[in-house]
Amino acid sequence: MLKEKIRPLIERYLSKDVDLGKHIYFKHYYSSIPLEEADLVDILIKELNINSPIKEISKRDYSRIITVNGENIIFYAISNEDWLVIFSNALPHQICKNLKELSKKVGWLLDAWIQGETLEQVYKEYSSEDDKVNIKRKWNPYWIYKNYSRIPTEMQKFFEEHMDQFVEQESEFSLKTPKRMVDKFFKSGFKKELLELAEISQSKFEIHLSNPGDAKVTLEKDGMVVHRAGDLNATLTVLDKAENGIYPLYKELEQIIPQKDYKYYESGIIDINSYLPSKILKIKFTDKQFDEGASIKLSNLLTVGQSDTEIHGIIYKQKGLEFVAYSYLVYDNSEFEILFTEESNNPVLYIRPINTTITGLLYLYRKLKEKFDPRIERQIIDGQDVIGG
Amino acid sequence: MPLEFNRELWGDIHTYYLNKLYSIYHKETIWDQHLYDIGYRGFPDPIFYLKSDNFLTPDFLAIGMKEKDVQIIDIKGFQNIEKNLNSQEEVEEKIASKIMKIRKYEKINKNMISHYLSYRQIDFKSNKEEIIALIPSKIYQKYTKSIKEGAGNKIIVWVIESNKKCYIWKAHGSHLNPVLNDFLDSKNKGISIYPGREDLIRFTRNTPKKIIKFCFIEKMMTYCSRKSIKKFNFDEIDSILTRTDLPMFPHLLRKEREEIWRYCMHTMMSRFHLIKKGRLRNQYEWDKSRFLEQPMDRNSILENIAKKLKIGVHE
Repeated sequence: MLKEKIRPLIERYLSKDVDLGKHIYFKHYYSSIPLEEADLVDILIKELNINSPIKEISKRDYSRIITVNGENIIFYAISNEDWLVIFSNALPHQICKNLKELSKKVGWLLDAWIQGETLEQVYKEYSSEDDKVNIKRKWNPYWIYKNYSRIPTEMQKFFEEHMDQFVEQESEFSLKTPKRMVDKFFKSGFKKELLELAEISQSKFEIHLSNPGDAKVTLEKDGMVVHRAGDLNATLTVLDKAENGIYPLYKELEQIIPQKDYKYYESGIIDINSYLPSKILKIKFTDKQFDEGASIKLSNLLTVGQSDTEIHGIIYKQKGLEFVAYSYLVYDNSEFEILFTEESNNPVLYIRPINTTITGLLYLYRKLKEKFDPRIERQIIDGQDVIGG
Repeated sequence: MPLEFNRELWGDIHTYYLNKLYSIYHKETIWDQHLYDIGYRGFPDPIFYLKSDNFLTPDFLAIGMKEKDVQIIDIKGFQNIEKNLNSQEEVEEKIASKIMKIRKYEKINKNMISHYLSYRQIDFKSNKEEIIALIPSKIYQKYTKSIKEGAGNKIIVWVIESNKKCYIWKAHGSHLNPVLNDFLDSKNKGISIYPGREDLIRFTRNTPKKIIKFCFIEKMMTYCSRKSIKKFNFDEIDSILTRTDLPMFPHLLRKEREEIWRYCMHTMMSRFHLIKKGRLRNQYEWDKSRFLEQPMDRNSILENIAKKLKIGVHE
């Protein structure tokens, strides 16, 4: 269990901060560079804008400790593709903020993902009916850039007539109430869509835990757990739960990833040593229509991206509403070949990874859910069986 | 007819045939019995240096570890042969003469083969070299006579059937090794090829230049965005494109790849104005670097290049 592995590190390097009642941050990143290979001190000096003394005081197989201004930051490798960064607000505010936003600056880091369902499970399971809950939700669906987007000529008319579908339309709400009131509040006619869209762009819970111990904890969708007060062990239990939530999906997507291993010769020749072809991820948006709106939004999402959606690419083929896109991720040099088509009038994507990592594919999948629609059915298909394959 | 997965960025029909051929020699393609299982090893896009700075580049080199026999294979797809010629006779003549031309590979001798294999640290001395033309079955059915004429008794003809069921079989000539001969015999239906596995090699020497250029630029942009690289040296390019997944042209020699990189860099600089020379020797820098941070800028550069190169929807 994760908590058993990180507890000794916290006891050794952050016990003073825990005793002083400081907030302890657990920020989870996906990384396409293994922790042991990363130039941590360099990155921190550059990205955190630090002038204060900084040095690495310990480097082990799964953990590295950096000291900034006398305060410790723990980097822990959960696997080859993800890190947990643990620090406290004994560090200056700006450094804490930058440590939480490293992925904005570093191309090969991404925010990890605590799924909406997991967040809800945590608050249902660990808090009592009288515990105070503070829920913040923000939905920021994909919108079309005026200057960058690609609208095929034959869809121009539809686009202009339905402009409201394509412009920025964030919705946000915040709710602070005892837990027993939450369901009641939701049932009282609050915007239904927001409720169904569990996988919305941002989601933040602050809960008071009664079980398995007294603690005040904040959980955010972007892989952030904050221990604010009380029993640290209770927070660690929540952290474990939050981190494990993604595991079944992680395992499921793992089988889609193509794998090649190479043998290098001095002449420069590189041979394939072992090889596993990719499978195909099929996503059907069950609550959406196969129409111009879906075609325009998805084709742009997959090629133009957005400031919070690091995807770029080109539309390679287009036939009516259908298209084939090549989409790329800077994060891990991912390349996907994606077919957009229909099935019983619902929009469907067939995603064939040409090159990717599990966390890269997870990111693409997450963005499709968050930015287009979370109500989906997914299926994994063998490469040989797909249409036109 | 709905739109299908095209895989065109994955290469042309030539690359497709080369992948099919490679798969019957590859240890990772376990399916039926393949040439790998009877002791053959294969290498795509080999290069043989002649005296006087010339070289020969057939499509494939196969070696038999038991009999020490060698097959030098050239793929003759003849995709557009009928387009530019007027009469049936002209087409037939052209086919025969093109097949005959691969006799130039008779110049490849035992030493050259040993030398090429030493690049992979394989110690091999050839007993006998055989030249083979690999031809799609549709073309073979239609032009059997001219193909056999062109091949004469010096060239062996293999045929590839690549519709729903994929086979390679021998249509003309015979091999020194009776086991190989038997294996490929049309009476035994030849060798059945694993369906799929078109991704063993992504780019070959025959991949259209525009696709190589597009993919080169995309890979350089994506890699530099990942690491926030504004300047780079020419010497770094090869490792950027081969040490990250998926390597580009991994099966070629480094010096051959560098020729391709030089050519692509030239296009990036003089045609697309994406990079300029840096202050130091061999150094380059991105002309505009906003794309390093903005996905939409990467998209608009790629769209623009695809348009100019007439790729995909712009074809």
